[in-house]
Amino acid sequence: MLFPTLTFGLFFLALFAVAWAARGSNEWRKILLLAASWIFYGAWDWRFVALLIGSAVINWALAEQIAETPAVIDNRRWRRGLLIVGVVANLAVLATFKYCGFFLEQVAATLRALGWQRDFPVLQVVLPVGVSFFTFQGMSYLIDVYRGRTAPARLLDVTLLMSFFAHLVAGPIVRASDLIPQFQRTPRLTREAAATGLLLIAWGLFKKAVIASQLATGLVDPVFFDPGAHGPLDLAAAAYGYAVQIYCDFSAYSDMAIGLAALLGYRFPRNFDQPYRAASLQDFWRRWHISLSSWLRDYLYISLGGNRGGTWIACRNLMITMLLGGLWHGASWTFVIWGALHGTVLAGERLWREFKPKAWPGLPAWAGVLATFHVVCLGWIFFRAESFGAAMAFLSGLGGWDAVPAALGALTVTPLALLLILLGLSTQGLPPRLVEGAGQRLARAPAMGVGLALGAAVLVVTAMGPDGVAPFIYYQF
Amino acid sequence: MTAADAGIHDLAEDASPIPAARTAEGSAVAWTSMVLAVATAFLLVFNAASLKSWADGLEPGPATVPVRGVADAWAAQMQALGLSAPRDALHAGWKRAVAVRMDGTSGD
Repeated sequence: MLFPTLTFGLFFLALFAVAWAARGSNEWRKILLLAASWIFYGAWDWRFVALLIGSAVINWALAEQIAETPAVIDNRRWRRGLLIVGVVANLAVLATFKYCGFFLEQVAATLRALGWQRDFPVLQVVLPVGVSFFTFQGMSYLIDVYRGRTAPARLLDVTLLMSFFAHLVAGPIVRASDLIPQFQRTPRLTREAAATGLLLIAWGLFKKAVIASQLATGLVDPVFFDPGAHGPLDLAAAAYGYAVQIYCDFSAYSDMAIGLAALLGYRFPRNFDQPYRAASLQDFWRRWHISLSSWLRDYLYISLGGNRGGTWIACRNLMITMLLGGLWHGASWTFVIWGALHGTVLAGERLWREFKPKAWPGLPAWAGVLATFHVVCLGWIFFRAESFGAAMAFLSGLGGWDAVPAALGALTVTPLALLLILLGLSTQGLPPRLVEGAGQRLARAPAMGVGLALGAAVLVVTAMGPDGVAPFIYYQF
Repeated sequence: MTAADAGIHDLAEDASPIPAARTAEGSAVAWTSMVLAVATAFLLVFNAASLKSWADGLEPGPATVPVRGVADAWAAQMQALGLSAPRDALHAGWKRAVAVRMDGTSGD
């Protein structure tokens, strides 16, 4: 069940009515939300609802055990052991569904390279939608309870935390400390929250159904499918186009998730903050997929030692964090290279800050933005390409200016695609927190007017959008 | 302070685009319901083509056949009244814009 579809719209309208009708009992309301979330998830594959429930029960039970064991020296090993069991159980889910086939392929390739020809069983494991998101959510709950940063919660709350349909399949990765306190009291709705939520949903629909979908079908997909058949102009346009497409796709999902949760009375954290205006890669990661980057920082980078131990250790930790962050996105060498590129540049920025002679001038902000954006675009080529070879073909094609077609009409890029790229990039220059400000103003308008405006906005989106909406890019992760 | 006391303000004010609810607003649910109802009615009238397209995509079965019949009849009625014209015009204009190539010709 995809957000920008009529099926989901009907599902949400029914849920909105039922959830607010049941606000007299917060417990029943949560049970309703849980049942609705399982229906939402079961629409993909009912078998994986059991996986979701099992994962929630294991994390809840281990967290209970950790919390019940006093954190004194004698118990330290027991508590740590429980935590390790929980983390391993979560990672085992990921390994089974996401990485098993990849690692078997690598073993087979290595053995073949060593001259040992042998047929390995081909594993066709169906990837549960959003598995990376809910396993990370479960792990963060467990680690937070272990660290004493969040109180253990009831089974219903933990299950709802991991199953809540709004963030289930593509984030944001909402921490237990952010959401469980909200579950523990009857939610409240204000007109400002509702108006901001509606604006985010409408804006998300536009970004996904108009900008991201059109760029994908009209430019990015055909060029990345066969980079060798396209000249440098198309390749450059597709690289920029993908940067805009993935931002408009993923941030649209986050906006809609935040908006839908707001209409049900819950606040999700911001997940994007105009990332392409970042003046350094470190700044980029404070603005892009914020819930993942802060997760990696708090649970991986800091666990590895973080900045403790000096500059070189910090660089090593950055590299490991980004390599694993790349692998989180998918079992493919292209994601590993994407992570390695980000890790290398982040480490380079750190070394530059540390060792740059004081007398040397810093990079002007505009140059930093431009350089960062192009590093990010370079990373996106590996991220989007089907294989390492396809990424290299794409990059070598970018330098082949002798292959520029004589006829402009032969180009895959169109004026509309260019316009959408410019539109997508121009959103990065808008005043920060524009939607929030607009939401406050909209909240003062009469419901009739807001309803007509919302209907007109959705009408425009459906008229401009494709006949069918492709799944969000991050569903595959 | 328990987690429940902390309530929704546990998430820092600036951490979410959604403003924190300091006081309950009984009318907010009614206001939002009205907004959703008006938007739904607007779309039923002016965007009946999407309803028809959605119904056509439903798996054929005893439950969906009547839905398709109603959606088809509704879309035909809205078209006869000229209420689908704005959407159709916008859609046609968009398709024309999609088809324009870099040399100004249409790819159709």
